[in-house]
Amino acid sequence: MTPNLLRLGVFSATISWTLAGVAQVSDTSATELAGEEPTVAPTRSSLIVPLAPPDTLTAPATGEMVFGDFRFEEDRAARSLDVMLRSMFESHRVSGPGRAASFLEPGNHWLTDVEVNARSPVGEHWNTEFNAVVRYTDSRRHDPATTSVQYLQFIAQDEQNHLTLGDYYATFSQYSLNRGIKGVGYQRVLDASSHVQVVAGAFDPRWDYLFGTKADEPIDRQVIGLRVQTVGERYRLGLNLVNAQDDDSDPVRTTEDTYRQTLPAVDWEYRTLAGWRLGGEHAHARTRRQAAAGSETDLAGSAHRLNFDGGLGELRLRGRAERVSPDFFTMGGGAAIDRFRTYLRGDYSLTDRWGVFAATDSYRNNLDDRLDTTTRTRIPELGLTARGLFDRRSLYLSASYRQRTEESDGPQPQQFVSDRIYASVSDRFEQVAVRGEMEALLNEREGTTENRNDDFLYRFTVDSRHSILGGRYDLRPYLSLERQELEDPTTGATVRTDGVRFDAQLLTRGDLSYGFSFEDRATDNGNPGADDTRLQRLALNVDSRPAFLHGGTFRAEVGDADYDFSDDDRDYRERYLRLMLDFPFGFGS
Amino acid sequence: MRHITRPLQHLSLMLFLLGCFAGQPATAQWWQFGADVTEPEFTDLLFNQVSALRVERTLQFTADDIDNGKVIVRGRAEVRQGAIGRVEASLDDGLTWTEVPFSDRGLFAFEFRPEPERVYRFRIRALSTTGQASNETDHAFEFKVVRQDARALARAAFEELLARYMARDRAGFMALVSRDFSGNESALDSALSNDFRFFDSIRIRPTIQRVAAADDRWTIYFAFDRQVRSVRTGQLLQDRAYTTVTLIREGEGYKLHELAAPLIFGVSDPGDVATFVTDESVGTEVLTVDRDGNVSTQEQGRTTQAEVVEEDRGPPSNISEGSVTLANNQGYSLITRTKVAPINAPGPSFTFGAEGYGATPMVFSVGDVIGAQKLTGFASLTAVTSVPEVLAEPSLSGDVWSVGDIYALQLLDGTYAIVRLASGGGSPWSFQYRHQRNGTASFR
Repeated sequence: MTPNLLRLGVFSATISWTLAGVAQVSDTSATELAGEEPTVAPTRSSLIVPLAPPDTLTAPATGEMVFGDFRFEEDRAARSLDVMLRSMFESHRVSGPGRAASFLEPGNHWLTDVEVNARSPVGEHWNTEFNAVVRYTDSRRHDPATTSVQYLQFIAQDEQNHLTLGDYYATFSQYSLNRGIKGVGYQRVLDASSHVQVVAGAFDPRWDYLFGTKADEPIDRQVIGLRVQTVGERYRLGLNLVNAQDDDSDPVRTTEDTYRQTLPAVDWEYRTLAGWRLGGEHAHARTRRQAAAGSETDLAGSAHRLNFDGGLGELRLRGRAERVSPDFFTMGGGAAIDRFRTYLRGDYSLTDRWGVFAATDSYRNNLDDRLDTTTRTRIPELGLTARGLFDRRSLYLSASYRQRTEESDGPQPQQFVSDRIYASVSDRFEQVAVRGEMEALLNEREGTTENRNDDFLYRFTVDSRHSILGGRYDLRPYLSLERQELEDPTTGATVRTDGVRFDAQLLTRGDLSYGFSFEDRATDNGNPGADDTRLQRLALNVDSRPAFLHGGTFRAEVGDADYDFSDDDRDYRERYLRLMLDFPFGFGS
Repeated sequence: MRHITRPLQHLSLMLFLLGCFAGQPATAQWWQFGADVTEPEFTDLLFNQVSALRVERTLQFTADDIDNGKVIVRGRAEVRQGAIGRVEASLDDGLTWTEVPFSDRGLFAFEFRPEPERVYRFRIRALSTTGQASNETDHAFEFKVVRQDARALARAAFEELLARYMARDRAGFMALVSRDFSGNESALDSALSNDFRFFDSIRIRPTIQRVAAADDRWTIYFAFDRQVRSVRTGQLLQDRAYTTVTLIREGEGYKLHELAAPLIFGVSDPGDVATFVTDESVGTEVLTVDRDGNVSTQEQGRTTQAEVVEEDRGPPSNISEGSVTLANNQGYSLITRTKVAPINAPGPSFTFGAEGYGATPMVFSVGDVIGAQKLTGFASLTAVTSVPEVLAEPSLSGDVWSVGDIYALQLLDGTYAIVRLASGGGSPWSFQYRHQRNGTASFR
């Protein structure tokens, strides 16, 4: 169903298995098809072949070199051309007086991606690669253009150099640069433990934004970046420098501010003798903001984070501290600005069966007192886990108490406190796994408005696997029952929702599987004037990997969803059919 | 009661941590990080290029991870006091062990040729020269070579995140979040709780535009169509935008590493969960949830916060948002948030007529209104940042309106609201509203 649309993702630079590779692994045993994963016989540990101890762990294990999103392996096919056709047809029918509320696009629509991957050696040492994805769709839900280039990339590399033109995922560090760009990425290995990386390009998400102006495209934003990284036995150190700027003269600019910035950053990691991992990043951004009216403002901000994890005997500790100033803007990286946060969590094994954990998280904004109101949040949590009680190896218990307190000061202080009590128990009875959960949220607000409301959630699931008809079929049913009771903080009315969901998969010995899904949710809304609602969904699907598709797949889905409101004028019904085909072609030496 | 439990809770937390430290063997010295000084530890463990030091249950390899059919395991065993005397590895859950040679620095290596889709129950242990053994269970996990390539695994992880979210399974979702999550994972956990309390019937249809990888990190840039049902009002809300999800290889598989705004997970707290904004969605109407559980759509700004952190003046904003659908001749009170019938709500009311209704222009009304004024030049409610404090008396005969018109209203309790006619031309009629309940005319 929905997740299968993800099959339409574009080709990435990591190469999928060749047809030959697929053929090699397609010989699955009946045991595997029955869902029981085979394990090795005891004698298989002799498969372990001791090797001479290495001098270092920083160099690759083999002759393989890893560069960003590309792997250089000498034993790859020297020259090849692979094409993958991914096509989907969908037919949606919506009826009923409230059909305008449906989120399906009525009618019949196509979406087709053609993915191309070509490889060829150049000279004795260089390998090249070309990747492209071209899309056709008649649905504006899937893409704003009928035909478009989704991905375009050329790679040339040898053992020391790696050059990418086109789509490139530039990952320097969290604060400095971590985005896909369209441009140039170059990486050169300096020695076994160091490399330098240079990128230049635009953040445009689509190729058609680079060629001509589209009405809905964001303002052009360019970036240049440099990263030097060195890795030692116990450390990694990265130095980053990024310069990014918006195009002030971009015709799509209307009332938006534009930015220009230079951002140096250092990221590091250190591992101690006893297995502790310490890491961090420190960045400083100098940004010039130009308002549409022309006035300019200089902003300077910094961001720092420190994190660690490790063990002290039976205690595992993990912590993080982060401070991001209000004027820290990062155009290519990411950070929640105007935050100071500390986090610490400890997990302690009391015995082989019992464990406890405690965590505390606190954060606040308004670091430079620029705002009238400062909001502080504290989240302490305590929990208990137990495994294997009553001589039941699969029995797992978990309970925790967590309190979230959010306080705002200023002229009209407010406090919001939410206590969460959570308990879950799970066990397995042969092929049947059961799990029960209870969550209670006790909320209280004080300030300009004072109210209290309690919410409860109960969930029970049964998940199982059965080999039936002499192992010819593997049946995997799943049942979920849920009740949620919410108290409206304003009216005090109760909103109760009951839900049931049943999924079943039937896997055959061949490359064929069937799926069935049913969901029913009913909400009884005690708020005056609010509608009671009921939703029922039903879906069936068939997945096949027929031999004539040479590793490709075919999937068909049909579904029916019925939305029922106490106000009949809002009722509507959705029916759909989707057919999906993935068809690979391969050529090459 | 709460005033008592909170200090007790902090106290118990501190006692717990102190107890854990105090419970360490006497030989451990506090200034030396680490476990028992005589207990060997593995400080590095690599399966080819993949770190397996913190794998808890399963390590999956793709064909791309395998080199010529082999997996080379390299690592380092260390002990603070004494020396390493032996390193052993097992592929059958410890039934049989193979001794592995190691160097003076504790470095070792071995290889094996795994068969696709077979499960190997890996264990490794080190013994010191004094007979102390490392904790076997710290590095006991299942190893398996799967059919899929890395992109398929990352995509499957994304599908699983979507499935857990749409099934409203908070605990299951959080198990798929990386311990190095770039945003605030506690805030994400709380935001998921709020998401699932305040809306249900979640449907998300992503269309992937681009998938890219670097090292063990995958970023998925996609367009999504989303529909949710507000639990409190029963309203169905939709949005459509572009966003980005980043996954990272960690332990048993790919886990959620970073989220961009507009968020598809943890919608209730974008300021603490998202770390950047997907540029293409700036200005797009996206789903938002306030603390009271009001679900609405607002324009995505240039910052991750739902409300821009700027100069804050006056009492804190307390805006309720939502949309209401009414049948002909129904009324609605924004103060009590209830539908009223017939036309007029208690007290004065502001009545909307519709084009084409001629002699009977009164179609529905907003009750408890003492002032009203049409606003021009705004495309959406979120574009209105303030309204005039003095508004004209509402027309008793009703105003003729068109879909998209926005009105400022002053209510009987002195508060202000803005309403926008979202659909009409025939019953039902629906309008969106923002009600500033702090008494000011500011809608920031």
